[in-house]
Amino acid sequence: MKNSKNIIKDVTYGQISLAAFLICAITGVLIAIPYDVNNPLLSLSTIMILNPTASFIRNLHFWSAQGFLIFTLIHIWDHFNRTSDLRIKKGVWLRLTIGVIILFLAMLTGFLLKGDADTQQAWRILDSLINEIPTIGSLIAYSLLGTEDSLQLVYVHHIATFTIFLAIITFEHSRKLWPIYNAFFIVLLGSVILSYFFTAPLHDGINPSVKGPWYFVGFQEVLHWLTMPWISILIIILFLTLIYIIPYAGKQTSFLSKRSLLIITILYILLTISGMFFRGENWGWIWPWQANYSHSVMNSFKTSSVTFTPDFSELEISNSGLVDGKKESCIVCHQDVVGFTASHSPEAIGCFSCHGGNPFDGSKEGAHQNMILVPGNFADADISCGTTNCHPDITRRKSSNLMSNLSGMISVDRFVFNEQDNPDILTDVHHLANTAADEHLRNLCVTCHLDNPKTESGPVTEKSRGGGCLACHVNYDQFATTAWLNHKADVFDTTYLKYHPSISMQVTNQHCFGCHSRSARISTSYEGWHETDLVAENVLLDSNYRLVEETRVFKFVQEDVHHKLGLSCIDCHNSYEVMGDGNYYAHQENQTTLSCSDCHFDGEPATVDSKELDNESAKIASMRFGANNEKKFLVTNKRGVPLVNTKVRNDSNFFFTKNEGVEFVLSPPNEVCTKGNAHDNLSCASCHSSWAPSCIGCHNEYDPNERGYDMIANREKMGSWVEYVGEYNHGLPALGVRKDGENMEVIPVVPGMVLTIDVGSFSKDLHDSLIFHRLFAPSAPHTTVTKGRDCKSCHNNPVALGYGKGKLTFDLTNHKWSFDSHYQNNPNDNLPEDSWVGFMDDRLGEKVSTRSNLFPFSVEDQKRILTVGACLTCHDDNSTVAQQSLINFDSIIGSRSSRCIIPDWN
Amino acid sequence: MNKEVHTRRYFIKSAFIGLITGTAVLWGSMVGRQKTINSKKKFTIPYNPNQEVSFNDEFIVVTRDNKIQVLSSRCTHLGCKIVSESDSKLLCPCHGSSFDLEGNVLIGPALRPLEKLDFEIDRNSSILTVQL
Ligand code: FES
Repeated sequence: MKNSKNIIKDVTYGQISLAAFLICAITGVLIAIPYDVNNPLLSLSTIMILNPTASFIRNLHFWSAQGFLIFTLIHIWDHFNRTSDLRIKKGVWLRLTIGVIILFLAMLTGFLLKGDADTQQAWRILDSLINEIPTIGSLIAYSLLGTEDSLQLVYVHHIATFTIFLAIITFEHSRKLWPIYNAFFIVLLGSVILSYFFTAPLHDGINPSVKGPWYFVGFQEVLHWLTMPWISILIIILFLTLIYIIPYAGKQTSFLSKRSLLIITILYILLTISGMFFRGENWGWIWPWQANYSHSVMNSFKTSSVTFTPDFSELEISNSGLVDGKKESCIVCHQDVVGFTASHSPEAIGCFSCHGGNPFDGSKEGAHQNMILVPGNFADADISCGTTNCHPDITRRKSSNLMSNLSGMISVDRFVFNEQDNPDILTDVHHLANTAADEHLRNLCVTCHLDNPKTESGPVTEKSRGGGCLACHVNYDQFATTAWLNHKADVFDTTYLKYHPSISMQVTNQHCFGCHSRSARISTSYEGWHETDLVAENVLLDSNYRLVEETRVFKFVQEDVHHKLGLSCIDCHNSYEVMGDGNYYAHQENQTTLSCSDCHFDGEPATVDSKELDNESAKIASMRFGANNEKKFLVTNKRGVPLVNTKVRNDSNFFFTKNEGVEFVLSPPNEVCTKGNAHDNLSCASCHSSWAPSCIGCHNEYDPNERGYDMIANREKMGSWVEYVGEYNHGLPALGVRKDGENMEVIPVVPGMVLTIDVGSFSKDLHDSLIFHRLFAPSAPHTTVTKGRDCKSCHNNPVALGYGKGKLTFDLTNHKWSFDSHYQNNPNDNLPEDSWVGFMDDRLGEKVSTRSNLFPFSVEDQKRILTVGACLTCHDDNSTVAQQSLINFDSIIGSRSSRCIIPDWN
Repeated sequence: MNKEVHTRRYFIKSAFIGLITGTAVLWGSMVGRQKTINSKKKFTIPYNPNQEVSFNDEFIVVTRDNKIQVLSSRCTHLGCKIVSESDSKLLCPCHGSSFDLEGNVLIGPALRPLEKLDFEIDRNSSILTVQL
């Protein structure tokens, strides 16, 4: 105790700042050896990664400088409070007061010498601020800072002008250049400890938050409120004047000046804290509980200790490359990694921009700290794929994408559970509550959203769900797959570190398959496979069957003609459909833009010139198909989205597959498709879908003893909704009417939700009874065939009309249609199990579909359809009468022969 | 004698002031000339007609409805480099000013619109030349 008292005896704040100044000056001379003012960022990153001793000296320089600033300010304050000590001459005190500003300038120029992203902005602010000084501002600014592309003058002033000035006035003031030993060793010890544990900062070039040095952050806040920055010059002058007058003013003024200084200092500290901890990207406020807080704010404080024995060899040091003009520690160790596309290779973007970590740390552990093993998940997409220089325009739209927010799925589920009256309400998978519907979604449905994180490396398989950007953009080639498998089998096999998966636009059907082989089963239908309820063991060797996820058995029915031609999902579905366009849509049919007629049309195409393409389309087009010069592309009729894999040339329209570049000439629709106006309201899919899968009679019940899963939290839990599947079917889809204002369109529909839900099993409330629904859903079957379905398959088909399977007969004797259903009536609504509407009924006023704009045919519609059906019982599809009826049905009926029988509806 | 001292002092004082003024004039003229030498700068970049907003070190190229505009990337508040855009707003990272794509101030502290720079474009080679 006594000893320690002895040690700090005579150690004043002045002594400490003098010691800090001395250490700062000496380390400054040393660090000038490896530092290169022409390549500041490169030389500093090299120092930090490859030269630990130099890095340590830089830290000493940094920490002693901070100490010098802090203790000088405390020393001044201390002076004011010990007025008896003040015997400084006015001239000296004036120079000392000017010295305060010189001290800040010395610190700021040191900050500028980093040459990183922060300092570029700081240079400009400083330049503008000095320029605000009337008359001589621009002269001083230029003499002090020089031009923006060279730090030479800044360097000169930092190491010479300001340092000499400070040395002179320190000497003039204290008559000392050497601090007492005690003070020197205390400061040295403090600086050494700080320098070992905390490396001086360097901006990583990725973090979008721009902040000045800590002592400037409060000033930055002040500047935010000053539309006229010259006021800040006045504030600085006022501050200096206060300092200057305190020792010589009368008691009263001196007291007031000190109080003002104290208040200014406290306010400044508060501003500094708010600026440092609560300002994020683009000057927005950010709070610790917000998702990107750690990245936006805390990153500036994350610094590593010095590693005196770096984890790499001399050879690795000499071979390590550069990333964007600077060194990155990652590529010192991870050299010769292969598998990248050119745009994502380490030479172009390094490792850090995707994987995070600490790019300036020479130790394995330090460099890997906070590393993102699998980047691109939406939680970190903004700081990996979406950083400023990469794809922020895309990641910004990510939550607007239905594949990430699942709005449609959630809204429909809540609607089915009678928790909301409208299936079109916009919502988000992150806003699930604890209701029966939301629990049902958690247990059974919401695993398929892009936001579901990919937590392990490995190729995309049919079991993959989610994964953010990587859900579509990661590809493992043969080497990467083998290496990854080897690593899985033996964790000590590290060859997988050599074979990186590629990040590319090569999005294959496999990427979509995991999620889209479920629910509407678009992926499997497109390839021609229909799910059955067969057991896997029974069909193992039968080539008519295919297993998905090892247990689901699919039977081959018929593939989509586009699949047969080799088209992938992304050949039709453009970037704005699959990555969102920034707008929120209720359902997938609202988000998609492409329709058949965008490619298969009669007459003049809707086109866009290459010069008028939006940037994203232009970039994709040129990356996939070369320069866009003078090209014309087709655009979608809905929202005018360019189809980048099309080309219009000499009255011919071409289409290319995106991954392979195979060329096709686009064909117009069949003649019959556009003949007359009878079928104007029919969507192409109503006729050209060869089949669609359907499922009826499913029952849902909550079982508290069932081992379940929470797909949002990604954890197992006790109690789950259980789905008891009814019957899987496939066949020509039923048809329904989608109304959009005055417009109506006939589209394929499938039994989306024909089911029962035992809500009471979840809520335990006896008032919650069994819910029964008979809701059909719009369908995009993706089973297109060239030849459309024949007339009878609609006009004489009870399934097409929504009655379900059965016998639909036109009795030629009593002129009446009748229907005899295949299925029993369901006791809940007395309709056959698979029907949508009863024969000659339209369920008006009931909940009929999973959309608010989708209805079965009205009774009037049914009559019109069945009138044609009656004709077709005698007249063939291709008969003149049938063909003419397409053009003018009413006149054909009016001039029918006496032998013709039209239905009697009474 | 006294008068002599007085005159000499006066002379030294005047010479000193003259020296300082002279130095200041030399300093001012040197810096002024140097600034002019360094200030006239031409930048040539490949022009991308498809990109609505593209950021370069000194300027921002905005293409809308086939109309090109080149705005200075210096925020009119304190000169920070504007490097990002969101919802058709140019955002200054330093103190939160934002501008529309015409360069007009939407939110301060900046008061003046972004400076519009002169440029030339060669449509054949798609080369944009900007004069600072
Ligand atoms: S420099 Fe842009 S807001 Fe201050």
